[in-house]
Amino acid sequence: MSEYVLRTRNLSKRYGDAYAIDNVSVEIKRGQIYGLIGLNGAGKTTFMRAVTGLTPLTSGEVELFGQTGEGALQRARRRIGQSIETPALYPNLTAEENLEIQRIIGGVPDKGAIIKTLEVVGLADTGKKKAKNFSLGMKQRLALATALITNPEFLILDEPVNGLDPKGIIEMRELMRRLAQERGLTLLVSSHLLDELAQVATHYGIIHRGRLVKQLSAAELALETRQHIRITAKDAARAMALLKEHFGVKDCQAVSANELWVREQIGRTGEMNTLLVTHGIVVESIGVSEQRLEEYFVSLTGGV
Amino acid sequence: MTTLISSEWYKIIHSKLLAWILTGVTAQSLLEVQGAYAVEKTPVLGQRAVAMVADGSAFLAIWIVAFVGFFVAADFQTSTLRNVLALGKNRTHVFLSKLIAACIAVTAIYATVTIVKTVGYTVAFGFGDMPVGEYLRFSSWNFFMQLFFHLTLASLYCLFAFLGKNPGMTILLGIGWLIGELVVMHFFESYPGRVLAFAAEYFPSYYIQRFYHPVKQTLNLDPAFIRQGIIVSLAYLVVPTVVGCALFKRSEVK
Repeated sequence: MSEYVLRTRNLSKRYGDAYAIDNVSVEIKRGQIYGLIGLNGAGKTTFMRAVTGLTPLTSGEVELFGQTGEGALQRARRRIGQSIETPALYPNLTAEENLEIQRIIGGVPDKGAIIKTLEVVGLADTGKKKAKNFSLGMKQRLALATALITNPEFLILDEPVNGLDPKGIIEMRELMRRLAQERGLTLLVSSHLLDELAQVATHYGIIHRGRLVKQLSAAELALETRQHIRITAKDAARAMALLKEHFGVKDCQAVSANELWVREQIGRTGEMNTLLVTHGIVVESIGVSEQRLEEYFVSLTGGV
Repeated sequence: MTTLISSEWYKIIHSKLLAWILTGVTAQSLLEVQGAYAVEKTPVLGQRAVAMVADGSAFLAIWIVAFVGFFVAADFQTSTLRNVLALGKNRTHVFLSKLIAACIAVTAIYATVTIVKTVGYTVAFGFGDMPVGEYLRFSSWNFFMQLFFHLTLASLYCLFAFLGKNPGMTILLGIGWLIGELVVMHFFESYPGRVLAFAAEYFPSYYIQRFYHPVKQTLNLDPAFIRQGIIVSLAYLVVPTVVGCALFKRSEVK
């Protein structure tokens, strides 16, 4: 049994002259909650659609549960549950009827699975209410139930908290955690909100303009966003040069024309301030802070 | 494949769309009977009603395309097709299961019209005195042949549903086909010298319209006519299915 649930090799999808995803190679191991982060239009959904076989690939290879090749991949996809883009539901049917259809298609023999799954997502009491009359949060949860009814090992969720109110976001987050812990599911979850994903993900892939910019674990992300001295000064480039010359600083970064981050010698903040001031640099602020996840994301993607 | 057909059957029963369409078809058939009764120029006996179904073929086609649009193409609009494909289902099987659902609907619509018109005309003008054995032969031959000719619509409209990917576009394409077919057939048949009349024989409607002669009240049982009708209908069943499957295999599903 492969330890990898999903491996993609140089996955590309082109629309006309533009690449929606370009040479994306991702590896997701069993039990991981893999957060795929990117701005709107970065290629997250296209990647998920390529993995689930909804869109034909331009080039590259998908490996699911160690299986490659069209026939084997089709069979492996039976072990996947997905909710990609908008919730895919039959609007004129009830929650139970929606799940019954998916149960039949998935060949699940146990009819009791419907009620159990509705209970998991908190929709057991919707009765004869049709899906079209559900709130967005209920629709998201029903879509998740549709993905869960076939008892998948790998769950793909595209922006699952999109459009949810704060209570709904917390509930969805808890649900994802529970599914991973109690059922041992592997999850691929996309979002454009790194802060949000950081609360559930164990691993991350940062995608930007169709390219996978970085893959890292939660521990690595914590290291990357560790404490640093943040200096706001009129001339960040000159300030950086001075710090390198006088303090031998190596790990520093000008995040903008006026802002400089130094990730070493945290205890010498005062000395650095004195140095810069004595060399005629106007220091507007200086202090130790942690990089916010969103800022880290912006620093990787350039923010656009 | 069986799981796909079972799910289509479940949807047919629970979505109530077919029930609504059958209600509409029933109302339309009753209006036709009422119209014939009001005019009473050419009374139709109940035993002949099975042959009169083809008279309203164009209206039947609209009901059928409405079903295919709201049942098959709607799966693209609601993205529920995604749930099927992401489970690794074969796209050809998915297309065929939708086609089978459409064929079930065509059969149900055709049977409903036949029953309603038979009962309606019997109430209005009486049943007639055809011997039972002859009536069974006449009605079954009529019903199954006409149904077979009409099943070509299921295949064509399924192709339109997979091309249009939404109910509105499917219905538009279906009605466009219907009008286009009638106009082109009329053009071929009325071309001076009838040199193009043979081309009209390449359309299923040609056989639907000529299978029963309403004035002579006789069936066209010419073996050559029947054979050709079956071949043309089979071609219209198979070609759109093959084209539909091929296109669907390469298409994006939102």
